[in-house]
Amino acid sequence: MFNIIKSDLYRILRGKAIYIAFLVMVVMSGLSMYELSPGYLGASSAGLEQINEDALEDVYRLGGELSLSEIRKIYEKHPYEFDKEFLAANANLYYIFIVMVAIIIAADFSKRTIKNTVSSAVSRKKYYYSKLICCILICSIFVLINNYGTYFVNKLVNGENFSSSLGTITRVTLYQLPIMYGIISLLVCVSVVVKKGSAFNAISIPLLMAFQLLITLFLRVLKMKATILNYEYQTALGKLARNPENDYIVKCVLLGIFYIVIFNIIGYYSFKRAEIK
Amino acid sequence: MKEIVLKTNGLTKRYKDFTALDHVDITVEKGDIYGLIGRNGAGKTTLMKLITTLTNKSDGEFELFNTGDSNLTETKRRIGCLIENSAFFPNMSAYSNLKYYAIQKGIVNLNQIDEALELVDLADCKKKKFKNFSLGMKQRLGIALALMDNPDFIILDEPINGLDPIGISQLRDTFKMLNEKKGITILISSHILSELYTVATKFCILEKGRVVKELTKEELDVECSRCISIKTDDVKNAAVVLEKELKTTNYTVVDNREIRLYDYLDNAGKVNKTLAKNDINVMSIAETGISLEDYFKTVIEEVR
Repeated sequence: MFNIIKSDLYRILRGKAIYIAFLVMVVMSGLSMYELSPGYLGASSAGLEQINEDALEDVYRLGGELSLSEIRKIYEKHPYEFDKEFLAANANLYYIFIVMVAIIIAADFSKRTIKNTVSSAVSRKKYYYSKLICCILICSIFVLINNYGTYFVNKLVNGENFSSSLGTITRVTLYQLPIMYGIISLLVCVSVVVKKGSAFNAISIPLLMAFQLLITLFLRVLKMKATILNYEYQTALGKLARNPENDYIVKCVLLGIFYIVIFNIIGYYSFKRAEIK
Repeated sequence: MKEIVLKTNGLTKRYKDFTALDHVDITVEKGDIYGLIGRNGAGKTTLMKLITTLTNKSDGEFELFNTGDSNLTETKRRIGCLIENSAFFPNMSAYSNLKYYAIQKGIVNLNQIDEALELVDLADCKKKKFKNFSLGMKQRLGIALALMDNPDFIILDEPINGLDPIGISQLRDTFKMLNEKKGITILISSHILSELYTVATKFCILEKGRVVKELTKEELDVECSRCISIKTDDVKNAAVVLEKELKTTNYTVVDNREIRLYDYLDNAGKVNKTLAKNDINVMSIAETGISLEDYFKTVIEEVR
């Protein structure tokens, strides 16, 4: 298992994809920090109204298109814990996770190199779990660099007024990780079920949006309580960053564990029976 | 008695209504170069995929080095394979690709990579990216991967596809060298019998997922060689007449209706006359001898 992970690290570090993903993450973080507006890029804006209502009023009052520096000036007048809010918008990292699963597993299927591994002294079980661990390991490194990197650089650039404590960042990171691992497990499951790089991308990129759409549709059709939306990936990561109640944290951790178990059972059994082409 | 490297027993693979492999029984012994011959879709690749666990069997069983198919993970350490076309990461060099698998297999001595590249004549191109390789070079790199980690048994699925005549000749020599000097057992497939004839020591002809014929090189030579085919309803007495009257034992009894005589090739009339004089009912007598391709076609036609 260790050898498979080691060989994947050797391969990934020789490619460009991991560095491009890292660069995108740094640019996202850098722009957000400069603008003092978390979740600047990507589909999951943290929602200005949830961060700072006073700042939002100023933005509306000035109206029109504001430059990055103008937005920064507005926020500078209304300090808040930027780093914590940045973590609330961590759903953006989903796209980094897609890239990692694509280069670690989907590439093996699309280049058909998987047959070289499965036909050697590697059982399918060992292959599946090594790849899963490798994905979780690399995605965790990205999450940690994203969270702690933003914390330290923000403290340095924007000062104490916009910073929370190291303990808060660590706590939020730990709350968010189980549900992130659940989503990584879902991506791994999709990659081994579809067994094609292009199909994996086509499914995984709009997957969260489709999931949100489905939940909303269910809520409307079945007239269910909207509380279920609190456990949707993007919302859950946001709420976990903003002083959640213990009960909510426990439910999210359990949801993350449920995702990990269920998606890996489906993924492994599908892979075990699959023909390798 | 030779060690049995691979033994299949009723090995079957079905895809819904289609049977790709139908109760296949073959035995590969240590030191064999075992050639699998069959037309496209005959089941050669399916058989190799089953042995290398790239697909799951529907029925039957097989053993690799006396280990049952349910517990093969460690035994697979002793095999190397190239199934269908070689597959590597296109943006990595030949060396990096092999190093990736060397790390994966836990190979400590990285000189093995250079040795494998040397064997397939790719040492000079080790820094070249896989995507820039020609088809033949790609195949050779696949063979280099199969040879890495000193396997006891290599499984090669149409390895000479895409190679030029010189490349084919070089690989043929490599296979012979690996077999003779390193004692490696080889299972090799092709849809061209004459291609396999130059390297293989045993042959198995597959058609529609079934084993049509399994024979040694010597037996194949006999099957194809120039001879007089005598068809009679009294094979036993005909053989006695050949030995007593014509003083020859250079014949084979094909079945209870045919004898093949390898002497008197230019004097079939004398043979016919002698048999008739001894009251043997000769239904037909003719000189025969077929090329490998014709033999292959004949065997396949018999099944169809």
